[in-house]
This record gives sequence, structure tokens and C-alpha cells, in this order.
Amino acid sequence: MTQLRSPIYDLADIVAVNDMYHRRGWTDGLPILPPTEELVQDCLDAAGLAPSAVISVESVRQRPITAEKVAINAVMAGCLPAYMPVVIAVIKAMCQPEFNLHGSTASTGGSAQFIVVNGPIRQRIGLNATHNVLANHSRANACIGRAIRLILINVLGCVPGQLDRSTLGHPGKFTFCIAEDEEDSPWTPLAQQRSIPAGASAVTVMAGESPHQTMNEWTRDPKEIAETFAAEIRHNMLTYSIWAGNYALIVPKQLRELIAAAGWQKHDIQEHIYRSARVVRRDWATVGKQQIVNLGKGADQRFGALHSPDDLLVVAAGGPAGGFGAIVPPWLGSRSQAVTQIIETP
Amino acid sequence: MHDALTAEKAGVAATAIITDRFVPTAKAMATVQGMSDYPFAVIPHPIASNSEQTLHEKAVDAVQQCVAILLQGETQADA
Repeated sequence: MTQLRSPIYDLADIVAVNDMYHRRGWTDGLPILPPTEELVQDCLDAAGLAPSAVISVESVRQRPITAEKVAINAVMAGCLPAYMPVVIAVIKAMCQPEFNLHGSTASTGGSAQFIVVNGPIRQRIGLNATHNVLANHSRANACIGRAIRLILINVLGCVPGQLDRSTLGHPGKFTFCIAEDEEDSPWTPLAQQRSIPAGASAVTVMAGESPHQTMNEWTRDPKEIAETFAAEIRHNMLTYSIWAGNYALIVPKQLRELIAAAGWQKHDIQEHIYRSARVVRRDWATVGKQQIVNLGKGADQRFGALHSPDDLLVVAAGGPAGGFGAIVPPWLGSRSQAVTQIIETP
Repeated sequence: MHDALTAEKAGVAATAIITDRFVPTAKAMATVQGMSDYPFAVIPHPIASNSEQTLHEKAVDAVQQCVAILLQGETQADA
């Protein structure tokens, strides 16, 4: 306990703690759990880390992210100690150069860290992959995503109006963490598609804009189901950002069953959308952007949503009933790339 | 802002052009890089939707501010 270096405050009760933390701008606006020495130490022990261990260094702001600060913010977010290895893995992923953490968190575009967890740790810590998967339910989903937001605020200065310049942001900036429903999916899990060995746990993190929900309950044809997703991606390319990058696709059980019954694997969806999610510059005229139709290489210039089929992150998740799906668009094309990081447990 | 600060640290004289609504962010970046008093040019927001004439006026304004910042030491030495 004596190893902790952060200042210690002697406050009367949880109300006084929250008053001070809110006043000093150390929260996301919601109440926090007081990070007592004991709770912080429990988190460090669960991760097998010394308080001074540097998890990563954010290169632009030159801020080291120590295990002690991660543990403090994890406790504040409501995390159980068993969540710590996931939080640590997300930080390592975000600090890879290709993630462009500074740009994606400072930008007016207002992205959030969309986290997908694969592997056995999902069940050990109770991560939700089914009903209401993109929203409230499980403590693990809610608190892991929230811990990342609090670390961004308190360690990296991602304070709205200062180093977070989001014009709008989106609700995923409170928390944006899901698990893949591996047990109820016929397909290769996302992490294994991205070179993580079977049996290992991993996170995949992307700078994501708000999810767009889709619905198609009127076909059994996998091409038509994939086409509904592709149409939403094309729409995003025109109304938000034209640039190619990682898109995530959330495919629920009802649609998975139809797609799989036709013999399609994830790579078939990826190939279809790679070919179909394309627009030409003149399409901008249909969404109020006539002014830029004749710039660049002219009105016939073609744009694709994906540099390659692998850039589409297909995730099996969602409740068992309903032909609803979602796309999660990238913040700014490939300026930030999704990163998959193995979860190490001590 | 980060590019300008990086250039300065490498010994290359630089400055940044910031639109007025981003001044707090520019100052925050200068502070985290340990150069809180770093001067920069400020022009009115926005840029993307400006007419060509407005953009030209802002460019002239920006150039004048940048020249003044970059030659600040030079002017004092000459005086």
C-alpha cells in the first residue's frame, strides 16, 4: 500500500468525494466509486503490476500511463479487479501508432473507442454479447468502457473544450464495449481473424463514430442482408466521411442464421461489402454537397469504403430475435486503424 | 500546433495558425509540451465554407501574424 504515489484525500463520505471529483473535472459527469488505497491495490494485484509500471506512453502528449493511474480510474469507473487485464490491453492497443490516439480523441469528429472482446475472459468476467449488446446491462461492459474514458480525461487531458474538441461526440463516449457471441456463432471470432490464437483472449479497438442501426427481416438471401449493411455504409460515406477505413458490422443471431444457412462465412460478407460499398463523387449532389462534386478527379471519381475486405470487422453479437444490425463507422478513414491486442492475465 | 512545437524542438523556427475557436486547445497542447507561452497566429473560424475572397483575407492576415512571430527576435536584435 505504501507504494502508491498519488495524493491521498481525507473526505467525510462518498458524497463529499463525488463533490470534489466533479468540481475538479475528474469525472465523466456520473458519480464515481471512491478510489481507496485498498481497492486500487486490489486492481493492481489482479493485473500483477507494480504501481509505477508504465503500461504505455502516449507519444504526442508525451504522457506515460502508469498502472497506478489506470487502477485508480478503473475503480472510479466501477470496475472489479478481474476487469483490469482487459483495461490494460485496451490501453496498449490505443497507444499503438496506427491507432492515432491523439488525433482520434482531439478531433472535432468526436469518436469513441469501440472495444470488442474475444476469448475465454468474456465469460469469466460476465461480458454481455447478446440482448441490448450496444447498451446497458452488464457491469463489465459498462465499467471497462467507462474506465477508458476516465483514463483519457484524467491521464491524457481529453477534457471537452480543451484537448477533446468534439463538436458533438456520441453516447459511446461514456462506454462502448461489447463481447462477441462466440458460443452462438458459426463463424471464426474476430480476434482469430486478426491473428490471435484460438483459446487466447484479446481486445480489438477502433476509433468509432456512433453506431447506425439497420433492419432487414424480409429476405433469406445473404446478398440482400449484406446489401442493407453496404447501403448504410454508402450513406455514411456521403453524409459523414468518404474516406476508406475500418468499419465494424454487428450481426445478430437472426441474420447470422440466414447468412450461415446459405453457406456464407465472415469473409463472404467482407468480400461482398468490399465490392458493394462504393460511391462516385457525383453522388454527393444527392446529400447537399454539390459544391465538391467537381473537385478532385471529377464527378466520376470512385471511392470505396474499405481498402481491403479485411478492413471490415464483422462481429457476431446481439439478442436472439430481430433482424437488426449495426455499422460502426470509422472516425476519419484510415487515419486511425483498428488494433487487436492480446489480453495477458497474471 | 504539435507540428510547430516539434519543429521548434528540432531547432527549426516555426509557428502555427489556429482559428479562434481552437485557442484553448492550442494553449493546452503548448502546455503539455512544456512551452506554455508559445506564440501562434489566430484567425477567425471557420475555413471550409469561406468564399474565396474571405479566405484570401484570412490568408493575408495569417501571413502578417506569422511573419511578425517568426521575425520577433530578429526585429529586436536589429533595434
